[in-house]
Amino acid sequence: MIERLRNIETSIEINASREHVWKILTEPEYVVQWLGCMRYQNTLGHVFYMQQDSQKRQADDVSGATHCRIDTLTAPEVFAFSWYHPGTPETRVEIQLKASAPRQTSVTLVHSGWDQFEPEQIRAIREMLAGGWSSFVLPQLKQAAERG
Amino acid sequence: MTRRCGDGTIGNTMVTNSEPKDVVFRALADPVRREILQSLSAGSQPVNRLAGRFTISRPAISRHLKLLKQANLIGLSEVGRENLYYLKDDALRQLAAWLETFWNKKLSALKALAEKDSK
Repeated sequence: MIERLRNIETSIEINASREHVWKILTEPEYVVQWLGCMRYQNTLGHVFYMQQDSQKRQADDVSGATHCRIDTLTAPEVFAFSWYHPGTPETRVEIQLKASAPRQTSVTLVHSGWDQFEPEQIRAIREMLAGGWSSFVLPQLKQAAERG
Repeated sequence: MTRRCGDGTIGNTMVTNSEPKDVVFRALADPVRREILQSLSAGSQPVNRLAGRFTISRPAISRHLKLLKQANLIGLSEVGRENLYYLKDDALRQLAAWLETFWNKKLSALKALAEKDSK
């Protein structure tokens, strides 16, 4: 049987103040630009959507989209939301900002909750991530492959 | 394996130690093979059912399946007289790795936006 999945963790250094990064990270006009989500509002408990299907996205259709419910908005430090499809366990994305220098911010993202899935629920994760195969991952691999 | 983000504004590169990278890339570069993988992500299937989804010839499907199998993206189990193709469990871990790439890409977009606006 498959071993359980560990947290997904990634980080980046941004050459801007923490307050400024917080604004870009959480304010509606900017979130759409970097995250590409739908129906976003920066209020606790609000649900926004990650729609993989670009046609549906253009039509403001959230069917089949990943749901994200904001659970933490602690300015200018922590922004967190759940990440799930209805009926499957909720995973969680937490983004932390730390001022690493006067005008430099260290951003760390942790996507956790994979250990809630039992091996027999693997199929649910697969379905949940399946959109990524076609709309993001595979075109990217294709590009990498074609570049040689 | 070196993966580059598809977006030209992003310079981050992820390196992992997978050797048959060319085989995997070649396997994934074809739309029919991607569709086969997507179809198998819903559960294992006998070759006849898989082949029935496509208009191309059965030998062509067999070639695609062979390539996917060489890339270790799918496996074949023989149950009685039936051959069932399935997505490899490794593929799931690869999905997790790719999700990591997805978030790397999003953070890079955030960085680009924050640094541009702070000038």
